[in-house]
Amino acid sequence: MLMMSLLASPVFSQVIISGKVTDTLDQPLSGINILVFPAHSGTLAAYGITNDDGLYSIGVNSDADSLDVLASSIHFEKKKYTLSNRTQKTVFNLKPDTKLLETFTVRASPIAQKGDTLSYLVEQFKGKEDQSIEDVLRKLPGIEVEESGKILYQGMPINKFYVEGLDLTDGRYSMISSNLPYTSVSTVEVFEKHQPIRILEDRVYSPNAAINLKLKEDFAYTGRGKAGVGFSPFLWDANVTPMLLSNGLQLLSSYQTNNTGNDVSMQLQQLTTGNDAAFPAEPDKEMLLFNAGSVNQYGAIDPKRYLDNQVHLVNFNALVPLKKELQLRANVFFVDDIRLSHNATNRLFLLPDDSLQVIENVEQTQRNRFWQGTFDINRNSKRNYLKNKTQFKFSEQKFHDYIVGSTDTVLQEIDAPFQQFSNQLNSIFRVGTSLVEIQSLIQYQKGPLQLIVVPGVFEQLVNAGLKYDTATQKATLERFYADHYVGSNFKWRRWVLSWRLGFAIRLQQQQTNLLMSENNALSEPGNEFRNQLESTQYQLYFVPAAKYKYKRFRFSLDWPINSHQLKLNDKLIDKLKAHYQVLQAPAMSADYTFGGFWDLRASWHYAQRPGDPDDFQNAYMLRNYRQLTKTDVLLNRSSQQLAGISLSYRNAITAFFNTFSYYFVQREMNLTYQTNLQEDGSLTISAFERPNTSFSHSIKIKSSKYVATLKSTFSIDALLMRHEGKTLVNEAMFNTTTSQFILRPEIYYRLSSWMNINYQLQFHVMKTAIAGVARNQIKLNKHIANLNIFPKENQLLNICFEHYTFNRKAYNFTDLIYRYSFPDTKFDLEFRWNNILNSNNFLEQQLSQYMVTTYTQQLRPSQILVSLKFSF
Amino acid sequence: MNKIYLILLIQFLPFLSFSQYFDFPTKKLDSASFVVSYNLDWKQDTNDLSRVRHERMTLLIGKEVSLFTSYNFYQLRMIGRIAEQEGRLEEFINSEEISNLRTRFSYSIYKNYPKGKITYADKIIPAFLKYEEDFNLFNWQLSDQIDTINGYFAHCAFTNYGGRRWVAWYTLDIPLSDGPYKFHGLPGLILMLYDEQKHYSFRLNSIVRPIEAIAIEYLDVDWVKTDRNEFLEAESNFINDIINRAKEAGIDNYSQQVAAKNISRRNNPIERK
Repeated sequence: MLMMSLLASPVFSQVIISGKVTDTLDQPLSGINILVFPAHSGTLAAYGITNDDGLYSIGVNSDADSLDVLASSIHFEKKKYTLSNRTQKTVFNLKPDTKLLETFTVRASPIAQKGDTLSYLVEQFKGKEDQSIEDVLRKLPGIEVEESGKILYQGMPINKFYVEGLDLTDGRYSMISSNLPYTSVSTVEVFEKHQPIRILEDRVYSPNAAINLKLKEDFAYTGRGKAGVGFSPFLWDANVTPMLLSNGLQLLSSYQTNNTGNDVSMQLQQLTTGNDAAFPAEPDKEMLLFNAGSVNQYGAIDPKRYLDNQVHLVNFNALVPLKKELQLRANVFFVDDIRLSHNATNRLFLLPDDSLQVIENVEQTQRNRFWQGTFDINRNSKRNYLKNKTQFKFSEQKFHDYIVGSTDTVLQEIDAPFQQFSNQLNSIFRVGTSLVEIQSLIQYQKGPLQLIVVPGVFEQLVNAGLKYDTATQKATLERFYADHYVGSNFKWRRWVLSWRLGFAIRLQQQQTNLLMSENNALSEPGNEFRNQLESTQYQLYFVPAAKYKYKRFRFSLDWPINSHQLKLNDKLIDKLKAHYQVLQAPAMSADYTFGGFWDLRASWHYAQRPGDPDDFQNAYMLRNYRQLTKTDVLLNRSSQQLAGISLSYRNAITAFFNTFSYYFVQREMNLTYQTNLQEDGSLTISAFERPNTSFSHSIKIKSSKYVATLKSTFSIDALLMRHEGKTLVNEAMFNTTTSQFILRPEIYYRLSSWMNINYQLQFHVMKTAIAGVARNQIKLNKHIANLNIFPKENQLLNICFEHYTFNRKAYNFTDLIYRYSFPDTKFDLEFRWNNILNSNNFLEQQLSQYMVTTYTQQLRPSQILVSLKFSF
Repeated sequence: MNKIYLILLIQFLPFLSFSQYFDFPTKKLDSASFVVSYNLDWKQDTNDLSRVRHERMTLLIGKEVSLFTSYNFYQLRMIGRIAEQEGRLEEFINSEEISNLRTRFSYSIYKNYPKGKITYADKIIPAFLKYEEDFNLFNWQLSDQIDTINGYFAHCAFTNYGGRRWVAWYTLDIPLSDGPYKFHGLPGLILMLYDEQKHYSFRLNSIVRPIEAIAIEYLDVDWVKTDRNEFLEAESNFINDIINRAKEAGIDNYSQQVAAKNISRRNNPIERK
């Protein structure tokens, strides 16, 4: 380490002070600062730092008669010589001397600090222009507020936002911070290094801080809203969210309504899907015994283009502290959602020597109403963590379908009320030095469902070929499910090992009955159409898992072992089926990176799955107006094998990214479904005990490159997929092959900092082959162009063009969005013009093994919506 | 049946993807005998110079080697590594904690590693890049100005680097020849450092001698060795190509635009050329 200082004062002739620094054993010392001052002066004239051989050489320009030369360092004593101002050599011999810490301690920060908590009086930081507490928070030292409302402390986002020590919003705190007037708050407290789960306090270090607001008065009241209107027909979009905060009870509620195609009930889905994938045998959240074909089945275009809705959503949240470490939180939702849809459906069935086309017009009204209440009780103490969540759900789903076919007209009504109760408990506690986690789920579901079809269908099977007025399918499903597990993990050398041991039980009763009515007289077609099933399912499972890592290689392995027992009893005919098996589902994956830019991954997954009691029926059941099913063979052996490999080259320097991947899936079942297809397109589906295997292959390539000179990114995606299987229709078994090819080039061009464009092209080809003969081909070309302009910092203009060609038929869409944020206020204005070209329908095709379905969906007309967001 | 099957396949595609890892193999270079903390105030957007951002930075000084990095980034790596070693990686990745543990600076600057060099190491998604510069990078001009900073008697010096003129205040009372970012080579610790436009300003927050030894570690991963110019190009490519990379992550158009708008504000890098 050699450092020369070059002092820029050429007036004086330069002298060179050089020499060597050694310790008491005459070993050379490197990194010692040699400082040169004019004698008796504090102004540094020049300096040097000794190199590995302990040598230094300093050029000095000074008019002083003599110089103070000082050797200074951390680990050795200081030594000073006073020398005459001429070129000379000086040797320093230094004794070790380690400076004490106090020598360097910086004075305490001007803000008084007590433990890990900092307190700020709002009075001292408030300003004239401030409105919300967020505006004041921005001014507090060490605190920043991002545009999204996220609060940072010392550059690091906070992990909790409390009001009077209570966390009402569970992380969505900007609702409070951006609306609560600062006048309601007396003190802002910052808890540094805050670990919200107290049992983890001394084990899991948390670098994040939390913020707590102390209120001036006992209560604070505030809120936020949005109001939008449009045409035509008359459109509305409103949202109002008031809240009440105090040191005891805290409330936040919300009312949202619109008919603009915005599915606000999606918010609810987020809240209901928790982290409960851990339970292996958990039954379906819904009871999908009937399939009406819902409005949301279309994939290629945004649902907002066609969703004709009227939705009301009410949400209510409350939090009550019961004791110091115990709190209760309630969340209640009510949704009333009506959806209308009008489409023409064309189904083309492809059979080895034949094909059948069925055209229908469907007018559907769907109404979903439900109540959902979630009650959490949370104990968060030093000794243990406990969270218990109880949930009630009452829902009512109704479909009213009016189907006009080429020969007849059918009315279908589905009424599906559903009740659910569940309780989930999560606990973390100590055993010796490690933490053990326990999870428990108990769930009860019940649904008396009904399907009515007018006129009666499947008269050949049901009524000896005679027409009848009404078919009424009744079904009652009642389920109880309980699952408990315990788990822990530990590290061993380069491995992380974990285990989970659990037991699940599922009890279920399913009763179905088909009723016929003729001239208002009810009759039953008999036991062939009645199920009275009682099933019991036990699962004892053990899930060991291991992860290994060494340098650039990583490997992971999971091996769930499940001892599974299923008993099915049809009480009507007193027939018992029992089945016991041990199932395994090993999964492994490996990853290797090399050459900096390359990554090679491979994975393999083999899963044996138990049969689901839902999939079994001894007798026929009507699923909708054209589908009658019977699965009297127990699906007891299904397995799926998945293997994949991917290679990627991603060079960040040249901005060149490439990925190639290949996947293979093989699926085996012990049974085959046989479909009986009638002239009118109605299906009778039953199952046979006959092994059935299907295969899928897919190849995916993705490549992109940024070209700096053109300010553009070019990218291309390609996907090739092929699926092979066997289908049994009308007693004929044949091979089906479906293949898909998608090619998607795209360009993104950044014209300037205030304008950018992107353009995407998509070619999509789907082909079906029946028994080796190509039978159908779908071609879709899609062009999408997006123009984004920022005329000013607070404005955004987005114009979107879409052009589709579906088997030579063309569709065009244009949309415009303009957003304006009023400076220094809490108001945002949005102007939206959807479907400017007023395209009124859209054609979409779906492909399954031997069926091509074409939907012509009626779309929302050209509509304009203006909305304003505000606070109160 | 078949449709369900295709959906299943698509759902399984992400099965292969490995999550981000923290527990990289490391090589211990030295032990920190001093931990210095700086507050960095910087202006990332030349069109909005009234907005000042803050981040805490850390300098670990060992006998031979020193490491300068963002405090958040250092914490993220350390906590992430422990979580991964304890098998809580997924939990940590899904926690509020990690989404919050963000930093604008993911670089590590090693002074005198390898010997006689400065190593600048950073991850520009998805690659690990590093480059070396000569240890004697700075040509300091001493000044007569003096001041008291954090209670220390401080001297002033100037240098030019990365297209900016820098002002450093250092103290002879702490004879550690080190400082924030790549800056070093003065006969005492740099207490305050800023460019003449005050776009980047580092100020000493604390200096402590750690009670337990803190290792100065170097990630022993597949570093791609490049040079300073290529690195600056990669960084600028990342900023200009953000829409493409956000899209790859499955982010919707509006959020892509917001991301592009936000990142276009990062037009004031510490090293301009």
